[in-house]
Amino acid sequence: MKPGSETLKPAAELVHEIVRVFKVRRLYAAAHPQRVEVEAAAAGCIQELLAEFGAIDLAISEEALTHEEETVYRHPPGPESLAFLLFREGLRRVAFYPGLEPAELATFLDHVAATALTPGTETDLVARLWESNLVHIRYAFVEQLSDQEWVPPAAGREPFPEHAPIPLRDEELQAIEEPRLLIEGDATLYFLDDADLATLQAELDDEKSRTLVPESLTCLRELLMEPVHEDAGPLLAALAEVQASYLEQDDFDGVRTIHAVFEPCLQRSPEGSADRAAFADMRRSALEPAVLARLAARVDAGATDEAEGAGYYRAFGGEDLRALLSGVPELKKLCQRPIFMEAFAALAETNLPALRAAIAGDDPDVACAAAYLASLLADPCLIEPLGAALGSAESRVRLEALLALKQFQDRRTIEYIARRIDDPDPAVRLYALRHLIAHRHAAALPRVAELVERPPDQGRPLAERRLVFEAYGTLGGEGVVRTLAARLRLRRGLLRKLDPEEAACVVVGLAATRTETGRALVERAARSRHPLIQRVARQAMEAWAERAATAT
Amino acid sequence: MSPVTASNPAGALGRDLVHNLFVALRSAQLYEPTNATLQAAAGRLSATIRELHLLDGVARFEVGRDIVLVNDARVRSELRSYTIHANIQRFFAALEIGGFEWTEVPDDGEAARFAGIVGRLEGTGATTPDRLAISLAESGIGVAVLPPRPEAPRDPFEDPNRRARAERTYRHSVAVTRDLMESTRTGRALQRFRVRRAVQSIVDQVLEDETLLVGLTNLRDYDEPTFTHSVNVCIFAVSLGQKIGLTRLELYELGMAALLHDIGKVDVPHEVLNKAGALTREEWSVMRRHTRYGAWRLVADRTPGSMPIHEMLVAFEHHLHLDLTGYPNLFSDRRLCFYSKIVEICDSYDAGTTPRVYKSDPITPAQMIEILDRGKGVRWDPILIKAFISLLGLYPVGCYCLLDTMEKAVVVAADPENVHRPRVKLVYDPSGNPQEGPVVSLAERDAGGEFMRTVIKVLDPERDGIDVAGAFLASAG
Repeated sequence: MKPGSETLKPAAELVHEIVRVFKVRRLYAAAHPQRVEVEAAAAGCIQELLAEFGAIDLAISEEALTHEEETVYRHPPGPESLAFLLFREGLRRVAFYPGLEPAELATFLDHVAATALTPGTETDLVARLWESNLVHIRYAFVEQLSDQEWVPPAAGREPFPEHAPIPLRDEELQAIEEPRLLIEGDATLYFLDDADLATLQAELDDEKSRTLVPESLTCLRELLMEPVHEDAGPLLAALAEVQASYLEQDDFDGVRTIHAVFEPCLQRSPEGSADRAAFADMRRSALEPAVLARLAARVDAGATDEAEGAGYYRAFGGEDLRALLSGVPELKKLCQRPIFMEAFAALAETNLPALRAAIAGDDPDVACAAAYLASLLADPCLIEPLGAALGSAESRVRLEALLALKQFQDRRTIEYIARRIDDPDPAVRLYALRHLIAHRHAAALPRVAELVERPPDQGRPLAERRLVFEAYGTLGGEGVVRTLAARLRLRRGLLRKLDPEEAACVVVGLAATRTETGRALVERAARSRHPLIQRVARQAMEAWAERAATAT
Repeated sequence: MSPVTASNPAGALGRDLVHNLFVALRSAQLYEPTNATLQAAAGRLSATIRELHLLDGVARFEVGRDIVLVNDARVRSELRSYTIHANIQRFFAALEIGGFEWTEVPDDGEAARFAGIVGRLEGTGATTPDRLAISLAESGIGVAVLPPRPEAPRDPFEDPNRRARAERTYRHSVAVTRDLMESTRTGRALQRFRVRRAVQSIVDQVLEDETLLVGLTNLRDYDEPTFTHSVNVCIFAVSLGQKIGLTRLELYELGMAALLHDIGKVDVPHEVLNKAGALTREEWSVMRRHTRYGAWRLVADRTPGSMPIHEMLVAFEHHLHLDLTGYPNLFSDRRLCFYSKIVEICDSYDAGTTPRVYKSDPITPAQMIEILDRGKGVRWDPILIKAFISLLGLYPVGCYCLLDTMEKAVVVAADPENVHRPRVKLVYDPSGNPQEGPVVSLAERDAGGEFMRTVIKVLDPERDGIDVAGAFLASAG
């Protein structure tokens, strides 16, 4: 130790405490009791040292910290060396001042740790320290110290040349008579009165509350409208970042505005250019399923205005309907709200080819959503793809296609539907049968007759079997009464009684024929001793009575 | 004792005490003891002291070189109180006292007597803290005179040569700007971290004492006009920002935007940028594109994920006037960024007063101030122009002036209280003899109350072979 160096020992102690905290921070999380204890103890110790001995400064080299040219810390260069981490970031001196708060020390070490993890980033340690404005820690970095070697060249400067007197020129002598440059007494030139200060403060407050993002966007737009470089890539990349931040904040109107404002700027870019590709990427990211799911959830929760949501779908769905339909969850539920139904119907109407492709596409979710939209439009050009969708391996697609076809007032659809009465999916079969019944489509009778002829299938519910017979009676009318009557007498197996369930189905079929013969047979069946046959027959008779009353 | 920062109302009381004390002292300098204005000011001072007593049991006002304390709590200088803080610090420094402690609450009459005794001491040098304490006690006012605050403890970073430090900051900033622009011109990406450190140094320097750096803007370097111009604009902008109350971090943002405002000039062909004569129409068209080049470059060279919004907007807008005339031509109206308005003023001032190879008759700083004043409200924000004039004075640092004494002088410091009466360094005596004269304040009055010196004309320093920057540095040294 140098003689008279009173602060060497405290400097060594201070460094020891800082290194101790530095180490414990690497081992334990912020709230860990041991870390909290060490940090508190170190801060207290350092405060005492500084209070007693005054400011302590340290010089930083690659592998050591020195105080008054005496080493107080040494460690080989590496990520575990405090000296190395400070040195690498350009720090060459650091001083700790009396009054150092524990929070300041913690912030200092936080920054050291942060830059140790991400060296070489633009926000380096010096920048972080400056921004934190730590009152009791000062530092010098490499540029500052190298500049100090420069000495102001005062000696070489000659501000006051030694030469002969310069007598006043005429215009200078006349100046005393001339009016002054500015009226000196006019304080309004420079004096900020209360109104000025209030205006200024309001403007400052307003400026602080502005994000300046809209201004940045208009600036980017100006640059795109009158480009100074051929490569618009950087501008579009910035735009994409703005869009990403908007999406992150669920500012869907903002995203829509970006596209509305910037698309016209790309008109001069040729098709297939990098600029257009970049913009298409932005569109794609606006239609990502996660984004659409968030939008739907927010609309559902009332957090996003319905008009904003509908506007977003309209803006982005037009060019990539498939992506939109792929990402929007529960389209049917969403379309229960008129504004969304209108929006999606309009989108579908203006993109019929895309809708046709989506119906017949591989993605069952998309196909279902597209089939639903087709049901809203009922455009004849959609019958064919919907018919094709009825052949899908996915039952939900077949069902949605069938439901859509039901909405069409077109004879072609009934044939497609009739084919589905033997669909593997019971729901599809039921809808198909009901549709045939409702439309009394006689042309489908042979298919239905084939089902009637089949022995009852244990896997199929009785309700469906009855519906088959109802369809048979409805489509066949008088022509099938005899066949049905014969089945009513049929015994299954030797000496066995008529199967009551089968009989009930036949009764339903007879009732559906709406013929006098059929009616008579039903009335007879109503007298059956079997309760099921009796009940079904009576229900049919009541239905007749109701129809008659309604007709009267 | 609980300090007055314990709650917000107490903090407001601290500000009130500073304000009311200043107004009372000022009124006492201007008016007779019976004057209603003085009485009203004394009443407000008394009321504030009473409230502080109620809160903390004492009212103590202390002032140091860079600090004002009320009951041990720091009273921060804000936009509205900036001038008051500066004046009150100067006042107490001149009296060589550290403040007052009111042990009893004075009534309105006692407060008026207190203001009368203390306020009229300014400039007389006729008392000492002890004698002041005695006269106050004799007047029956229960107030103790505090000694000056002790000097700060040893500071290992203290650099006694402020001028050298300021000049280092200035020259380093110019060097960094040159490196930045030259490396950018050769196709390298913007190296922001060195620029960032330079701007941080400028902000620190301005916060400490802006006058030195503002004076250094006169260090025109004919070989590096673009680089010195960028640094000058940065210094003016940060100084103006400080004057209107921007925070330290905001000053940094503003400084970065100001330093990079002309970065687009690296894309302007060298032969156009440094052409000796007047530019042709086509060349002007190319030159005017530098705002778009700048904005484009700042966007292109940004770190992914961070948008340099202020820098881009200032680069794009710094030649757009308040009424959106100027350039670049716009496709739609826009609201100018606040920083752009500041930078435009600073840019216009520095560009106007900088001698250029193609300018046969550069505008003097004082003429430029007049131009700015004429254009306020149309080209430039009127309030910012006022603040700018208040910052530089009507005769900014570097002005070479003829005085009514027939002396010639260089303005070396503005006086915020007397914008038309700066401090000047006398360089020629009335007979035209060159001299390294003293620095004097044009606000000084003679025994008859008349100003001893007044500017009557602003002159061209080059005609008399005067290096205004050198004069400034000599005065600062």
